[in-house]
This record gives sequence, structure tokens and C-alpha cells, in this order.
Amino acid sequence: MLTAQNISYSAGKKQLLDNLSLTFEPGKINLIIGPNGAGKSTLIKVLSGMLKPSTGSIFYGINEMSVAALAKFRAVLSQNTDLAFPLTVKEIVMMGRYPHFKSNPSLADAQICDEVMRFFDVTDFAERNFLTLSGGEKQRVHFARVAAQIWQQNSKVLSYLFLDEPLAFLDIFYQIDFMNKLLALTQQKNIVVIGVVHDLNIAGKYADKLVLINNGKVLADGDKQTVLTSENIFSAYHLKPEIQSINGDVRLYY
Amino acid sequence: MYKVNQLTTIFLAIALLVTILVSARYGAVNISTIEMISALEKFFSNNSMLLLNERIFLDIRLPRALLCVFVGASLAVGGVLIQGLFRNPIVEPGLIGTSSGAAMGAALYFVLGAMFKFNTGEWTLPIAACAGAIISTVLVFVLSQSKTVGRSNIVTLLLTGIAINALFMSGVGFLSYIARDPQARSITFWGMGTLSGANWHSVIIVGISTSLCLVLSLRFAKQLNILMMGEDEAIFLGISINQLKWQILTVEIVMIAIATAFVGVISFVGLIVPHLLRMINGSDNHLLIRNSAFAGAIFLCLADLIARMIVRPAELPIGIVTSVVGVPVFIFLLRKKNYLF
Repeated sequence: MLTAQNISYSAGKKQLLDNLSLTFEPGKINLIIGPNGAGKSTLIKVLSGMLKPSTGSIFYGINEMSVAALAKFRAVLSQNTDLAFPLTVKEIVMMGRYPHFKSNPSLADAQICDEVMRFFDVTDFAERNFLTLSGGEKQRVHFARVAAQIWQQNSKVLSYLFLDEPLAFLDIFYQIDFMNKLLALTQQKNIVVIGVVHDLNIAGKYADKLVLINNGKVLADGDKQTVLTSENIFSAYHLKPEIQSINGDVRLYY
Repeated sequence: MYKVNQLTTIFLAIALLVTILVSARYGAVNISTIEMISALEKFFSNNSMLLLNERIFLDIRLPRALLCVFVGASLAVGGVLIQGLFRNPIVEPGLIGTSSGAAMGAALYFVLGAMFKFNTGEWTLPIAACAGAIISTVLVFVLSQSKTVGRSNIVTLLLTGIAINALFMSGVGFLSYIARDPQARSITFWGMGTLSGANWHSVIIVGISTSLCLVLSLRFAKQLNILMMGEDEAIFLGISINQLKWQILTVEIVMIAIATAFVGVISFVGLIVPHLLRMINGSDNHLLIRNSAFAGAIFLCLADLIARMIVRPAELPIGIVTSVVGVPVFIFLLRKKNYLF
């Protein structure tokens, strides 16, 4: 479980996050939504340890971690990470294991990479140059890399996966594909998943828990039916979509 | 998976050995294989009755070839380090001020040394070169950091490099103008490099620094790979980014400065060699660093051989040869869309 207590963050005079308290449970897809400039990316950076909160604290279950130690059980997937030089897909997935070995990967590291590449269906282009892949394929390779980073051999070890707008730049096929992979990963592994998405229909379909933030504050927090209501959507986005709940999915028609 | 391809390395090692022998053999005077062998025999049996050609081989050709090896390895690996650090294939030690700073430090040592006639140890020249290189490189590094983003924009970096290079090379020009020491007087020496001053003393000093820095560089391979994805990703994968930056910069400066102190500024080796190797074996730094050391050594040996052969019995500054090869590669890289700028 990840607990954030009364976290605030300001850059200069501008307060980007204002006294947020949140909890995120393992085995669930936790998604953060909100309009542009609401503070979603800042929140994910603070939660993942990239930024130190100005006040408040974040508990991973273990306190005071070094950058190197944190990397063994916390991974972050950003949008559109590109490479400065050509590398094969296999080498990129192996980078996820770098925090776990000193100079040469162990047999276990190699096995994890194989397993992860199969899980994400990237085995077919394992030997290809990453720079020649399509945007959707690239993001899938990075997803495989961050999964390899927190692919624990001991299922008792809890890991944390942060997704900072992972669906940006992906077409609808790859968006759905990505979310299905995420769903499978969440069900199979002992991880806390926290992601930022823009598409409210994706959120309404996949989220087990939603956090709607606006102006650096939590506007609503809970399951998708309680968060995706007309009043909440109107106060955050100034839109009045028609909202339907079908088979547990919440759908919005604008 | 992850079995490192050893083939290229083995091939390069053999090619290097052949290149050293060829480079030692040909020049203003050609030395036969028999003379080379007998010279080595006499060297190891402490026989000082050397014939002229044997003496040329032992005292001139061999140290010169070995200096080429160490300097070439330093320049190429320095290029890999700096390209990895800035995430860009078009930077090299000569472009970000390290070489010109080292030349300035070395020139200052010669001028002041001649002026005040102080006795100096054998490490004074390398230290002076390092001091100059530290000043120029850090100046480029700090001046090119953008205030808003906190990291270097490549255009700013290259332009700052040009400015600082011009400043330090005009300093070298001034010093060689007022210098009495014949070595410092030679402006072509500092500007375009030459290995004509090679002797066993310089081979030992450059050899020690190259070997040490090479071992340290190989330890950065993993971090340099991660750095390809950017600084944020590097932090997520557990790297203390600022510490790493300064460590890499330090190794690069020492490596390049000590080589430059003895041979002057040789451009483009750090650019061409890593680039060619990336085309052959990809960009994994485990392989790239090791192979760059070998390939840089081969490249400089051959460049030196060409510099000695083309106008023999005179010789060209080696920088002319490396530039003729290097500039087209540089322009090709600039125009290539596959890389990010």
C-alpha cells in the first residue's frame, strides 16, 4: 500500500499540489484524472519520489530509501521516452534489470527478461533496432522494460508502478492493448499501480479507483461510479457529458 | 541473451598488433623485419651495440607507435564518454573545449618553465594540461547549461564550445608567439597535433593515464546505457545523476588532457571511431568502450603512418589527416535524421 499524507508541492510561488491525502492499494488499477494543469504530472512525480513534497510525507512501507535502493521495487513509465543512440529491443528490456546487478546480469535476470518479453509480445522484435519501431511498439517495449525492473522473484515483495500519461501518442488499438496488458500485470503481480490518463472513457472502463484532481486539490476520490458524475465532470472540465453505467463500465458521451 | 559479442574485439586486437608493426616498419627509412626482431632481442638482452636502423626502431618508431596506441585509445574513449554524457553523437573532446584547454595548460607550462627555469618533475606537464582542460571544459559545461531546463541544449553547447576553443587556442597562439622553448613555439604542433615528439618517457605517462581511465570508463558502461534514455529515466533506474556526470567528466578530462599535453590537439578521432563502431556493433557501451579503445588506437596509428609517408622524408601534422577523414563524417552525422538533437 502507498500512503500520501497531507502532501503539498510548490514551485516558486505557485502552489501545484495543495494538501492531498491519498491511499493506493495493491492489485488495483489506480488512475489519476483531471484537466490540463491540474497537477496530475506533479502528483505522479511526487508519489514516485522524483520530486520531494514541500510538506507532507509518502509511505512506501519502508522509510528513507536511496535512489539506487528505490529503483529495485519502484518503476516509472513516462510518455514518449526516446533514445539518443540505436539499441536493440533486448538491450532496452535488460536495462530494467540494471538496478539488480553490478556488472553482469545473472541467469535470473536473463530469464526475467525473456519472460517479460513474452508477456508483452515483444519477443518477435527482440533483435530489432528500437529506433526503427513504431510509436506503439516503442511504448510496449518501454512497458516491458519497467515491468522487468519490478518483476520480483519473491511474490511477497510489493512493487510500485507509476505511469505518467502512458497512452499519449498511442492510437486506439495500442491504448486498449496497453490497458489490457496493465490489467493482466496487475492481476498477476503484487504491485501497486498508479497512473495518469486523459481519456475518461479509458478511466471509466479500467480503473478500480479514480482520483479526480483540479487546481492541485482532490475533487473526488473513490470507485469510478462515484467519481465520474455529472457534477464532478462539470466542475473539473466545464463539460456536461451524458454518463451511462454499463456492466460496471462508466461511459461518457460528449 | 546478453552474450557480449567478442568477435569484433578479437578482430580489432589482432588488427591493432598488425598496425603497430606496419607503422613501426615504414617511414622515412624502412626497417626490415629482421632488423626489428634483432633490435627487440638486443633490447631484452640489454645489448647496447645497436645498428642505426635498430636504434631508429627502438628509440623512435616503437615509442611513436605505442604513443599512437595510447593517445588514439584515449581520444576515442573520451569521445564515447562525452557523447554518452550529452546524449549526442556529434560531440567530441575537441568540440567541448577539453583539448584546447589542455593545450593552453601545456603551452603555459613550457613558457613559464623557460622563463623561470624551475626544475619540474615528470608529472608537471600532465598536471598543467589537466588544469587547463578542467578550466575550459567546466567553463563550457556550466555556460551551456540552460537556466530553465537545467541541462545542456546541444546548439548552445556546440556554440559555447566554439567560443571557448577560440579563446584558448588564441591563448596558445599568444604563448607560442612569446615562447623561447622550441616545442612550444610550434603553433602547428598545438593546433593540429603531431607525434614527432614521442619518446619512452611520454609513452609511459600517457600509457599509465590511458590504462587507468580505460578501466574506470568500462565501469560507466551500464550507467551510460541508461543515460541514453534521458536523465529522468536514469534517476528512475537508480542512478545518482549529478555524481555520475562529474565522475564521467573527470575521467574524460584526465584522459584527454594528458594525451594532449604530449601530442597537441588532434580532432575528430573521438567522433569517427565511436560512430563507425556503432554502425557495426550497436550502441551498447559495454562493447563500445572496449572496441573504441582498440579502434581508436588503430585509427591513430594509421593516420600517423599516412602523415609520415605522404610527404616523406618530411611529415604532416596528424590533425590534417584526421580532419580530412573526420569532417565528412561530422557533416554526415549532422545531416542524418536518425539521431536526436
